[in-house]
Amino acid sequence: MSDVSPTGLTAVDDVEGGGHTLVFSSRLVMAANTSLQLSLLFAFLYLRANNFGAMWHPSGVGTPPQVLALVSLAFPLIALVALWAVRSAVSKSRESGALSGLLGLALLAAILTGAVRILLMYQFNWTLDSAGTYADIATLWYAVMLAEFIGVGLWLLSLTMGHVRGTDRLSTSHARAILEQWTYITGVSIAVYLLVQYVT
Amino acid sequence: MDAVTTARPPMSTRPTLARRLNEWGLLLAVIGAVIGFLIGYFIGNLAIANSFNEDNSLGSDPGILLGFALSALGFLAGMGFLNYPIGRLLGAKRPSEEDNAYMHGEGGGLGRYFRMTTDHKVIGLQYLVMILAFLFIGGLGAMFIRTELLTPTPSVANAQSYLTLVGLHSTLMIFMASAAIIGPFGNYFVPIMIGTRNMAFPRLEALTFWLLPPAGLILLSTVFLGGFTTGWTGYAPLADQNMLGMDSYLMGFALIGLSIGLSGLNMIATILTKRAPGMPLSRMPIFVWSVLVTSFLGALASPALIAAVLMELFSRTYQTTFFVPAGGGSPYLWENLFWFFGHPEVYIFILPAFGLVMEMLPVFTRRPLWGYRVGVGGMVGVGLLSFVVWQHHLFVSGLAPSLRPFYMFSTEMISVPTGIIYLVSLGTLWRARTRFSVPMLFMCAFFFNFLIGGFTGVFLSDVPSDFTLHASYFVQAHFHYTIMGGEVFALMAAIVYYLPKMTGRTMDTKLLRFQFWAVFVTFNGTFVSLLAVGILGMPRRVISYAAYLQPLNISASVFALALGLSMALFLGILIWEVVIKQRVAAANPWESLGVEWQVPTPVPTFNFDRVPVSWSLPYDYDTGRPAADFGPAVPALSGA
Repeated sequence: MSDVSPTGLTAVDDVEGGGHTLVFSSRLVMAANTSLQLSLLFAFLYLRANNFGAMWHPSGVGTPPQVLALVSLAFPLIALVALWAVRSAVSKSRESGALSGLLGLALLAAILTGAVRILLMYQFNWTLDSAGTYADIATLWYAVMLAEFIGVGLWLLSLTMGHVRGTDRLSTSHARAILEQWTYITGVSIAVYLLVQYVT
Repeated sequence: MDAVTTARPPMSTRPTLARRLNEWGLLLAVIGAVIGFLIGYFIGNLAIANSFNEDNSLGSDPGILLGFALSALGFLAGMGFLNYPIGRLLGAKRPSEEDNAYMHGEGGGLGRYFRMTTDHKVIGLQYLVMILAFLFIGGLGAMFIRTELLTPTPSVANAQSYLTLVGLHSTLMIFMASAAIIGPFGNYFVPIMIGTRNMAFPRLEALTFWLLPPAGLILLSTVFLGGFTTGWTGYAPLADQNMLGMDSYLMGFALIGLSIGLSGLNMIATILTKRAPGMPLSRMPIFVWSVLVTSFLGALASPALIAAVLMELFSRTYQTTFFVPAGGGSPYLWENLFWFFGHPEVYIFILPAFGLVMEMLPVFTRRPLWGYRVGVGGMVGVGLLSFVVWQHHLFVSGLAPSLRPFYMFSTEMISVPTGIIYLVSLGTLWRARTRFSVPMLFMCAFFFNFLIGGFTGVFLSDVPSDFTLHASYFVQAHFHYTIMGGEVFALMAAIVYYLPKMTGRTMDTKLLRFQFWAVFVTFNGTFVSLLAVGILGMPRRVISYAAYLQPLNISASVFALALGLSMALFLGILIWEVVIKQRVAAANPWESLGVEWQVPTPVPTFNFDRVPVSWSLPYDYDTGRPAADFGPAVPALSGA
């Protein structure tokens, strides 16, 4: 057995995927999430196209309140800008105080995102057993998006706490991965808003 | 090359509170599950169900479902799965090297098999035991079914309990089959085969396993909640009309879908980012390829199931009408979403079995795997095509006639890459001096059985013959030929083959040869009878049948009961030889060149002193050169 293999490589202590593994896996989650979103899109379009028993969107069933729906999109966009600045600061190794401020701003926007979306869902005022399948799929989809915002928001909280308490310095790959995830779900939530609001 | 020590820091003599609690993980998990269920049941019944005026002596759907959800959460909390994420949320320090080594099972004895651990080898063995337990319970269900069908009229059960029994058997077996190969062998061997110390996300790997016990128990709880009559496909609107037992099915399936999806993501990340130096994709063992393709199927198909289950959960709790025509829904929506997951699921069962068989074949033929790249292409082809064939399950349930030719064609097309995989295997066998050891016998049976499964599948992909055979015992026999005749036979081959590496124990060959012939003959006796019964028109999932079908049903039942005994014999041999008698195995009894056989037995906690350099495929039996270079410290072919 030789010290150096025919490949010219030598044995190493360990294979550490590190940041690359994190960013790659985060994208895999987005791919799987896309499959979930496409399933919901299929259901939405299928039910709307067929309008079984004229029960897709019976008269008297409204759409989500426009202003609140728009506000619920504004906060994720604010968080998105903050996370973009976080990523930029991390990649340029800016000082920690500014980074903490940006992380705090992103976290605050994320919390408000969740809060406004919960409020929005309370404002739907649909009686689901008789409001038609438009109300059913819209409620389900908004619930899924809320769960996703909460999930990524918790991730953001853990990164912020680790950074603020100095137990875990925010890495470039973490900043990049969470920015991509937030961008993705923000984009999807805008698409869902447009569908629910205008494809009635 | 410098000698590098990878010794871990020594364990502290005083275990922390978290570690002490972790030692009691399983007990705490059970307590957490019970408390979680009670809280969820209470809140669900009082706070949610009242708003819908639901009333049932056993509670309401929201109560049961919230109880199940919180019991699963309580179970995981008891196991210690929330410690790390909560710590991270509070900004606690990352676990130390010592903590990680402890969680990996270092220094732990038998107890680490009953608690949360991040060692992929322990998780692999945990999976193996759980899979065998599911197989046993599901098999008992099959015995009850065949006993009932000895007579053409109900004799032991009534129609409702019979349908619950059929649904429970099939759903449990689907649970078992979806993890039967990847669970034990993928988790145990993939990291070793690709030359890494651990999975990309070890805690996630542990989570995918520990989601399954609550999933299985929740499913089994259906017998106390009135059962469910939909079978494993959970078709709506029957699912909407079913009693509380349907909630068990839905929550169980949701958890298994989550486990499949997460396991797939973890496997993909591990295989694509943590391979040893010198191992491009073109040099990965073919089993790893099969796991990679299967993981993509799991990660991309299971979200469709989760979407469907979410809709049904909403329907049973918030009275939505996704699948109820009167409310604007359609059962066809469920069928589409379910089978978009369900058909790739079939390949989630069988592709790892193919990969494992192709991995083992060169060892017993002492020849390189013939057409490695073609075989990989075949598996990728099967994976891709599996996403565009699901509508063949709906030929008779409303699919637009103009779409039928496409789905008939795409389904028949899938036999091409499957045939390629077959050819690779046959090419490896061609003119080989094959050693007909017990695993090889099971592999031969695998090819025989799967061939029948494949041929019978052609009739079901063909629209005219499918109209005749749909929902008959022909379909049931075809499915069992592919999954039981294929995957379960591959599972038995793999258990016999890999047991010496996983446990350092082996089994008696004479007993196993007898068991092999018993299981092979009785399996074929059972399902040839059922193919015939199906061709004669007997529908599945019925408790009564025409009297003229009784002789064939008796034949199927007698063979099936003997099949059950022969499967029990396998379990008996396994327990007797490995647990009680502890027959010691040679280090590399099959003289394999694979990396997994070059590491010592038992495999060290972190697999390698040094991560090896891969320099060839592990099938170089012409020259006998091992697949990897471990550096000067480890001799080649240890124990060979």
